[in-house]
Amino acid sequence: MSDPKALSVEQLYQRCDPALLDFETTAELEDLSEVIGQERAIGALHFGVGIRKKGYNLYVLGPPGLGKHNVVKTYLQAKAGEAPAPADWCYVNDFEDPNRPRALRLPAGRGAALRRDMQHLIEDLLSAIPAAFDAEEYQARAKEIEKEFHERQEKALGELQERAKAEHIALLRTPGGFAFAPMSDEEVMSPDAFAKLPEDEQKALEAQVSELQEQLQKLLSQVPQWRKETRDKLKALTQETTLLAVGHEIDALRDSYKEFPDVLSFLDAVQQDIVDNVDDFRNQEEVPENQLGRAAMREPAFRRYQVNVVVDHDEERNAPVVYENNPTHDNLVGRIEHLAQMGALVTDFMLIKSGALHRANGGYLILDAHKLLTQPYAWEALKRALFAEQIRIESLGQMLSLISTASLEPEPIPLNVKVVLLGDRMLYYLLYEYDPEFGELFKVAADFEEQIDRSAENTRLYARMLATVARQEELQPFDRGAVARLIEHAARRVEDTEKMSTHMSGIADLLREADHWASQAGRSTVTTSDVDYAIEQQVYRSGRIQQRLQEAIRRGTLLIDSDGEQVGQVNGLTIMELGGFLFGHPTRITATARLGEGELVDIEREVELGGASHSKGVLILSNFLSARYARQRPMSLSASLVFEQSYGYVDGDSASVGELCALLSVLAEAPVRQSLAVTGSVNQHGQVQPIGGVNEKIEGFFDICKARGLNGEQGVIIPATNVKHLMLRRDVREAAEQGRFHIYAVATVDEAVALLTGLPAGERGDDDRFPEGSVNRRVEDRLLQFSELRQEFGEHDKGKVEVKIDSEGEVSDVDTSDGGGEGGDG
Amino acid sequence: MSTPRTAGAKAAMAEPGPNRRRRVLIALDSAARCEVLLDTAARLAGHLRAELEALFVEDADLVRLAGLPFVREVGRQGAPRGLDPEQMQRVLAGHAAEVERLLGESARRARLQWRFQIARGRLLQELLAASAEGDLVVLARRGLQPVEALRRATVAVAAAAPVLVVWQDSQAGRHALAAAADIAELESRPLRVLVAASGPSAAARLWQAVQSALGDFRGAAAYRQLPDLGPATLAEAARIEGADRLVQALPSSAEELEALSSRLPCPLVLVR
Repeated sequence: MSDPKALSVEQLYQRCDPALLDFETTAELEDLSEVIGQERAIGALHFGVGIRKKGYNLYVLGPPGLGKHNVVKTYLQAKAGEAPAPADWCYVNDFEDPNRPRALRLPAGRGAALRRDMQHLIEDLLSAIPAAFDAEEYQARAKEIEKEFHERQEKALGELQERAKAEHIALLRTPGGFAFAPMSDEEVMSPDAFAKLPEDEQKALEAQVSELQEQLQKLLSQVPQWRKETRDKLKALTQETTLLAVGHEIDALRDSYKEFPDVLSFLDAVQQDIVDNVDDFRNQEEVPENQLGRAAMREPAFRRYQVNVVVDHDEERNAPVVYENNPTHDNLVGRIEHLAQMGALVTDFMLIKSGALHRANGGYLILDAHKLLTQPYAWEALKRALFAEQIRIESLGQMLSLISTASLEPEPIPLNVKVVLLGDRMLYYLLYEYDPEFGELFKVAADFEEQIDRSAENTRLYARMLATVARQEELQPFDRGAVARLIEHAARRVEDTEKMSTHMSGIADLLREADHWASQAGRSTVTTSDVDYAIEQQVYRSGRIQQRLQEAIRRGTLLIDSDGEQVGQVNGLTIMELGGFLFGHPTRITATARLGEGELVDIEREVELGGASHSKGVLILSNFLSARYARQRPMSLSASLVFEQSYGYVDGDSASVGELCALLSVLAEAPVRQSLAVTGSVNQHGQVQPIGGVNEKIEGFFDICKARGLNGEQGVIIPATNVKHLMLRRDVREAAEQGRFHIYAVATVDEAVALLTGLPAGERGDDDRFPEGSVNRRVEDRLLQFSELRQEFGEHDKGKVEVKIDSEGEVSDVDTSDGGGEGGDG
Repeated sequence: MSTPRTAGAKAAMAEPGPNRRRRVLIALDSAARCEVLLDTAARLAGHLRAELEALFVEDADLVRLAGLPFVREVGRQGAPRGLDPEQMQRVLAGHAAEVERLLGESARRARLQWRFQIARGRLLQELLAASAEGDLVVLARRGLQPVEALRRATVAVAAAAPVLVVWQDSQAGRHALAAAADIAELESRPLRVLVAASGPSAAARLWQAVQSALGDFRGAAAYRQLPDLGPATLAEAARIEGADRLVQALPSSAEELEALSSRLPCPLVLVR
């Protein structure tokens, strides 16, 4: 095994090949209409939009900033352009049940036409109906009917009166009705005169009057029937007159809408209602044309004939693509508004307002999943509508019994919409896991890539995409160098020399900022230096915490050595992400070891500052120790590991190589070079595995060393598998090129420990022993020594006490009456 | 029998003077619904700067009728009930008091002095006896017809009903025409003149005379040709026109007035 050599400067950064960029500035490049590197997502979009089956709605996954919204909207608009505008929808009054307004479906543009036609109809009828009733024909016929009624009464009463008169009896009108009285000398006979009549005359007179009274009673009892007959005749005349006036006007409408049975049915109902309520038209108060409130005075009576066009595609030619930015329950499924009248809340079909589902019906609806899920009842309402394939407007206030007032139950409208939810992956997986209906309704997932291959073809397309964004944003052209730098930065963003970021939001930000700095510098073309400066400024603006940490290290507040040697002390590397800004910095890892029972104390875990991944790394290295050095005897070691001066939460296993090296150092009593920092995770076989944030970690240690002065010894040990992720800063590369800073790539922990200690790690020989003087031999010897000591202690003190050293080095006695623990048994 | 009565200070008569042209006398029998009529009469009196006087006639026949033991009153629904003289007296007195109250209110609105009289007898005789030259008499009488009127709402009320006036080529007839013109102007109604003529040409000639008599009348005026001016013809014309009052010269005899008023479907405005 030979010591690894420092990486060459070419391995530290993958430049963009200028030969791939055959232009001077982006002004020469054509716009890019397609999306690059998102074949899977676009394929899913194509499939999801194309399949017109229930439940095939889409969820577009991906972190924010990938440009999902623009891609989806552009795609949907193109698809919508191939489809005609969907139907208009109107709500009209149901004259039999006004609480259940009826929905009318009409071809695009005909809804508004029907509204206008109904307005004109009512305006026309407001003059036509009174005119019909003013007409001489109606007046004459009505008067004839009245006359007939009067004459019938007159004739009957007159005949009775004449008959009475022939018998000298008068028919008189009394305050409460009528009475017959015998006459005497043109006057009603006085009671005295009557009393003086002979008894037989009195009786005869009484009998005559009595009979006449009976006839009068009979006659009067017929009057209500005559009245009813007269009223029926008048009503029939009124209806006939109204029908003549209305029928002509409505027939014209019937002809216009003859292919729409629902509209014809509505017109029939309107006609019948007008006939039944013709007095509303006849008894209008004369209001001057220019008087304010004229419409309002008419409105209550004639509002019921209006048409509420809730979906109007009058001006549209294609299927709608609707993005609802505020997907509340009401904004999705519509709402029913109320008006305050005389202190009460009232409503009618004209106060029905459409929602996004109405507007998108027959097309596409784009929603942000997070916004949708954070709006009360919106998600449930959307699912209900998609399941039922109809939009039912339900007042949330009524549903929750928040308000108690008259409301409506509008007829549901059939729903045929493709819903596209945009959201991050976490939401998708949570919904899929916890909402059983989600999978049924959103069967198509369009998963957007965050990175694409950095192939020659993609590099050229990426340049065109940058040119497109620059033009859309009205930025100055970027020269070839600037584009190359942007492409390199796109690779750095995804920490991969072979990939490029598709995070369009971040790329567009950088384009805008580089353009700004170019303008500030008076340049009409954005150059490499502008892009570099924009990146530096981004780092500078976000780097306050990073600078404070580095300052604390330089001033010795945070103890980090960058030269010399120390036993059991290694410079590890950690990364922090704050507000989207990622940076690395070194942290001191120390280890202690002593005689014990094979326990490895992870102090971060003991104080609950370590995450599960970190603990896993420590347990792995513990097992590595056992497997390599104590295969045939118990591990009689008690060791502890700690991140010094770390007071926050630590997670990840990227320090496990450093931790293992610190332990090996303390066991082998081999000093570790403090000029090196190490990062990487280790498996049970001692192989070093890749970690994240490798560039930031290297730069974090570089900055400290640079501040203290590069001495040519300093460097960073990284996993060999991370070499392809290196896109290091220019100053780090320059230092490496000059031999003042080194990046070592290791594949095994032996390589790392050899680099750190300057001693050979050693491999087992034929005698199954490591070579004398090697680190591994020293470790094995030390553990053997612990084991023997442990055996001695075990036999001497079995059943008595065990000496335990806690994480702070305090010694304590523990009762081991149960047998002293497993360690002693070996 | 006549029992003139004034209602205290509120009924103080206007002093006779050169401006006093006429008296508006409203004559009512019992049970006539008269709110509108009283109000119209009061406004007319104000317009004509005339006195306002009401004559309420308690029908003597009704009092006697109520005293007959076997007589029953038959209600409009056909239900018979007994009559009692005292009760009849109370009803008539109650009506009189109500009319007096309504008259007072109408007069106050029109800012008029007024006078109220109660008489017992027969309405038409009492009216003829109480009226004098230059009086404008509004006769509100509930005749036998109709038993029941139809609600006007069921029939078209397209425009304001015309004021009907019977044209008679006499001084009283001209007074009647002038009074009708005053009412039409006051109430912004059209004037409809009823002329008796055997043919259109005769009617047109009469209409010329009417127009001449109308002078500077500014309202809408038209005529209706009738074969005669008998009570039945006039009643028919009033029904056809939908009139709610008919103006004509006061007939000289009670019989003639009886024949007309008992048939007419609307109140009469009589000019003497």
